Amino acid sequence: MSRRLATGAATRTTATETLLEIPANSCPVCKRNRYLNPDLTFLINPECYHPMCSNCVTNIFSKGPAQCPYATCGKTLRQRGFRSAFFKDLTVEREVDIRQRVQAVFNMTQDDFETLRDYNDYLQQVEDLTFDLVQGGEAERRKAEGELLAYEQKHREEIEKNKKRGREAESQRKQRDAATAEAARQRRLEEQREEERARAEEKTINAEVMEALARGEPGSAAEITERIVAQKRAKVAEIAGSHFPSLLNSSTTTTSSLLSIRGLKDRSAPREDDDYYLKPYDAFAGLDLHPTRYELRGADAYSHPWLEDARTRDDHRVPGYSTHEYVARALFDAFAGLGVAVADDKADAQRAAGTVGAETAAATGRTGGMGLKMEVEDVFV
Amino acid sequence: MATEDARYRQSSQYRLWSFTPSHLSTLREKTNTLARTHISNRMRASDPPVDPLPDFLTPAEEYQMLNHFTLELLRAAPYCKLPTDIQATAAIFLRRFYVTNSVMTYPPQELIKTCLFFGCKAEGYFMRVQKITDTFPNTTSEMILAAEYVLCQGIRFAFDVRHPFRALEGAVMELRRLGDFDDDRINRAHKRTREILKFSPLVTDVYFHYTPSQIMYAAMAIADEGLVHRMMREAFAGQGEEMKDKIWGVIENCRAMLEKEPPEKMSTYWNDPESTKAIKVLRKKLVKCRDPDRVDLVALQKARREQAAQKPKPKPKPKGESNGDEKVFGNGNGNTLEREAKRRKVAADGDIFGPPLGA
Repeated sequence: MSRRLATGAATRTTATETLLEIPANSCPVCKRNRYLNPDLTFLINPECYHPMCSNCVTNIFSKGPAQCPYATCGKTLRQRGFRSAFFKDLTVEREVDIRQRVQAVFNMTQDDFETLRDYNDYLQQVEDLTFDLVQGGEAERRKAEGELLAYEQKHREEIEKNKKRGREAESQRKQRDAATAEAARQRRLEEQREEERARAEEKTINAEVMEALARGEPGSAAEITERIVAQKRAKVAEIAGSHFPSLLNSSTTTTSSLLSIRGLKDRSAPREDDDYYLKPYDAFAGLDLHPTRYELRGADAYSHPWLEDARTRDDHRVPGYSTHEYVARALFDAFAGLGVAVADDKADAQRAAGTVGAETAAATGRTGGMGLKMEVEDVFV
Repeated sequence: MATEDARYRQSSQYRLWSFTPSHLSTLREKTNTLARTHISNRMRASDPPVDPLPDFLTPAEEYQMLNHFTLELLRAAPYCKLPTDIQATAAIFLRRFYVTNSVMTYPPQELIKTCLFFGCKAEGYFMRVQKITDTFPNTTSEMILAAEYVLCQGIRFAFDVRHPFRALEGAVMELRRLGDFDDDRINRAHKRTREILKFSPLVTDVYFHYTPSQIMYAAMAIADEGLVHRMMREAFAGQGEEMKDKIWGVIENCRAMLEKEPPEKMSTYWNDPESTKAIKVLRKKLVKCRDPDRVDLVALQKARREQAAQKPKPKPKPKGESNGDEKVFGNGNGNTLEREAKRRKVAADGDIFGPPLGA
């Protein structure tokens, strides 16, 4: 922006000169005065940004499109286009409008680009275009407008897609924000409760000191007080945990070092699941039952004297016995575990003794080394 | 990794009951030493103390005894008219049980019947205890049931035993489908392999060291090596020779183990004077060094039951003495304390299977 600022400022034209800001007291068209009309409101039309009061708008434009009543402005306006301005300075209002429009068209994100450099170049281009629209002279503005329209025409589909994606991202962000806010609220409540408990604990100190004195415990009164305060302090610290560092020793300011950085993980947690929800549902969680050592053919391909009856006799077939099940199971048994060399797999089982050892083995990802503690508790003890 | 192997690795047979040979022998030695120390402690503590202490069985002798009783089990099973795989399950239960328990601690004669009964249960073949007690002389249903829980615990509640029998049918069907061999040859090999599988794997440790399909191919290799080569070609097509050679080496090892115990031994064993003599000596030795507390499992079980039945009823106390704490946390007698101590011990150990026998 800064690069173009010099030229932009120099070529600033009359088009933007007439619109200054929303007038404070009287309508520049009908000269109606706020003193006499307390509910005077000003409207603008984004065609030319000339402010006028709502009465003027109804009077001039209710019968259909008409010319802007400003002397130098030849634009034809419609009543439907009028709205109230958000900013008092109408140049700002106009710039915001333009930027919104440009953003709606150039709505790509960093993820769409290969490198950061590309993305930055793109941003620069967009900014130049915007600047031309906002600050440029008549010719520049027209040219930029043309470019914008051309781009919009050409990339309509992509823009739509990006828009949709943007909406999704937005809703996700909202959800996340809500979750974080909720977590923060819970945390605050929890802290409050803890604080209350700690305070209650503190209050009992005096009573306990008195009691101890009454019981006639050894040591002077000061010693007893000190002991009890130390006990309480420990208790309060226990209640409060690390994030609520004691009300008792408020003289020492250790709070500054305890910057809590909670709520970070929540942001990343739903991301891990994204992949899971995108994939189609698999009832067996990726379990592959397809044999690799043999090909299971139809039950008719295999002959076995035991299966003859089951295939031919009705009293076997009618109840629904399927020879295919038997064949599948028998073939699976014939090839299952064939490639498992127990001597190799279990070689390190001896070293790791006990199921505790097996646990560590499992944690380190060794599938074969299942250390076992074979001793069993005697039932007849 | 092949999906078939991945699925086999999920089984309790792989996870809990597969060992390297050296690991298995260390386990057996450890069991033996533990049993020795326990029994000698008990004998010394008994009234009057046993002095001098008897000779204990060595791990090798224990293994010999175990094999003998496995054979006894296989001899007994046909009298109950049990299907092959249930016999096999019972035999494997027995062998698994005696990995962590000594022959000297729990009497194998009793365990055989419990294994048969529980094998039926585990395979979903429900049989009345009465039927087993009717079949075998000098047996009561209490005797069978007394050791049932100990057995379950000893086999670490792994009731699923994977057998090679169905695998054999699968392999035979596949061979027939391939059609490279004539039916006679396949049928002959099938019959012989079945015979081997019914006996040899059950009296050796192959179930601990190899997977069912490897055992099946090893047995088939004894019957007809050509068929196994054909199947291996089929299974490892397009996976490189290296893997195939490695697995063939595994199968060869398994075959060597199986060949030591041919199925013919089932009939010759009982008439072989040498083996009967050796067993007689061992049995005599066993009688002397048995755990004095575990001889009568029935009485133990009864005592345990009674103990359990008594526990829920707290002794009524005179009102004046009743203590609030005791009311809430139990009556504070020795039993509760002991149990509490045990629970704490287990919790501290951090192992769900409890502390070792020596603790």
